[in-house]
Amino acid sequence: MNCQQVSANLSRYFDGEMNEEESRLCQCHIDDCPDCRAELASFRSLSTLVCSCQDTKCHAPHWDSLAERLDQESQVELATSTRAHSNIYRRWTIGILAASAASLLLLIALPYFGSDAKREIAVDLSKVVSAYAGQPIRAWEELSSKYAGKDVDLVEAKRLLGYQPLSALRLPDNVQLVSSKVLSFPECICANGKCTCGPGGCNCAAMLCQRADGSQFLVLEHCQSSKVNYGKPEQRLTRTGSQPIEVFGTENRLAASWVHRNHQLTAFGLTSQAEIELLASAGKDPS
Amino acid sequence: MEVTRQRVCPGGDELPQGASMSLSPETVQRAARGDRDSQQQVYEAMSSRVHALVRRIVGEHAADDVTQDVFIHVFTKMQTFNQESAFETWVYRLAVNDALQYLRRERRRSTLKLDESTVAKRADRADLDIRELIEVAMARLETELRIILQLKEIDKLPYEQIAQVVGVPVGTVGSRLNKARRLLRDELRQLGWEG
Repeated sequence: MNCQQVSANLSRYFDGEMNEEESRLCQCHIDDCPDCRAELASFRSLSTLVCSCQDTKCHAPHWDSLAERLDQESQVELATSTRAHSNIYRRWTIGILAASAASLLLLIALPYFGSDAKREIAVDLSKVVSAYAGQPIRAWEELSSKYAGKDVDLVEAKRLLGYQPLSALRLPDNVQLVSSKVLSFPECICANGKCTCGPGGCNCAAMLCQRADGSQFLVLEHCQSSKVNYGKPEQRLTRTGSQPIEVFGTENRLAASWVHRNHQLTAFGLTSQAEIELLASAGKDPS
Repeated sequence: MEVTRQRVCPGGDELPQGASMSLSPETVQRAARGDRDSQQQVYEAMSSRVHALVRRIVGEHAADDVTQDVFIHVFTKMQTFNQESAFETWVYRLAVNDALQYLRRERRRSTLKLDESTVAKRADRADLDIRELIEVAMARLETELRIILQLKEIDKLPYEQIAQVVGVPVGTVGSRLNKARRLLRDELRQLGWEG
């Protein structure tokens, strides 16, 4: 190993995370290199300092105060369920009518939802898509206001999201990114331990892009595991070896949504099917 | 400088150093079913470390409230814990997520960043003791680096568990720790540490 390799892996060596062979090679270099030895010594001093200065008292609130809150929440749940029980007979007739109406709605909605009916929807963007498919700025403002959009550069976006946004897109040469935000979706509902997103869980990148003529379109990008309802598409474009592209809106006021690897990408303000296909072409999995 | 390795819990019990918190699977299962005594055992085994981690993320002023929120969250979601990771890892992950959510909400309200004013005031003082020095230097690190450093140096978690808690690939943990340690060392040296 040389200095550069040791420097890049010094924490792994210090923390005992290397295999035997790596560790041996690292040790050999450190034995012969005063600079790397000094660097390692500084890690050791730092670790000793941080550990020794750790506050030894427990400052967490006492259990009793948490138990009180848990009891209050249980009582609220109990009261809700008791009220529901006492009203059950009074609501019997209404219930039958409501059940009939719900069944009817379900029958109407089944072809639309298909298998997605079983998915838990955490974020419903169907209204935004239907209202602003062709208006990226309005969509951008609406989403930013609703999901606490935070202005970020791509470095910060990558840190918050856990991946580099836009990397799954084929942006045309004359298109540039003009602004980017990270939206805070309500919660991460990826399977436990399966989320590969950033430290804040499953958030969403919102990126405003500008064409050479000054017109703009918006791209949303989030982890595929985030359960987001985009509504009923007007059409589906199929791609060989890939999942279909769902297209919303009409004529030259289009939005489109597709999956690339584990990212869901949705663009607002597209003007043609050709533009949709160009953007999504980077997301075409090899067949 | 006095070095103390014991921790004291709300009930006065000592906690061992390291990741193991001696919670049996039966205790975790009973707590998930709502058994208060088992929930208390879970709380008393983990609250000290969770509080320290949360405090490192949100600051002293909000640590108590956020820690309580974390455990309410833990006890209401425990039935969904599917044992794909260690229980402690799962709790740490919820704690990190809840603390970061709190930070985001606070930043939206345009309040101060992590104890900014307190840290700034303290940094101006010449008579900082070594513990305050570390607090000030740590507060200057990016949130994610603080979290990773805390999980390694204080909680002694292996890289794989840290990766699960923070939601980054295992291979990234080492490089982030390199960065965190070098930045912390440089900050401390700027503040007068001669290590």
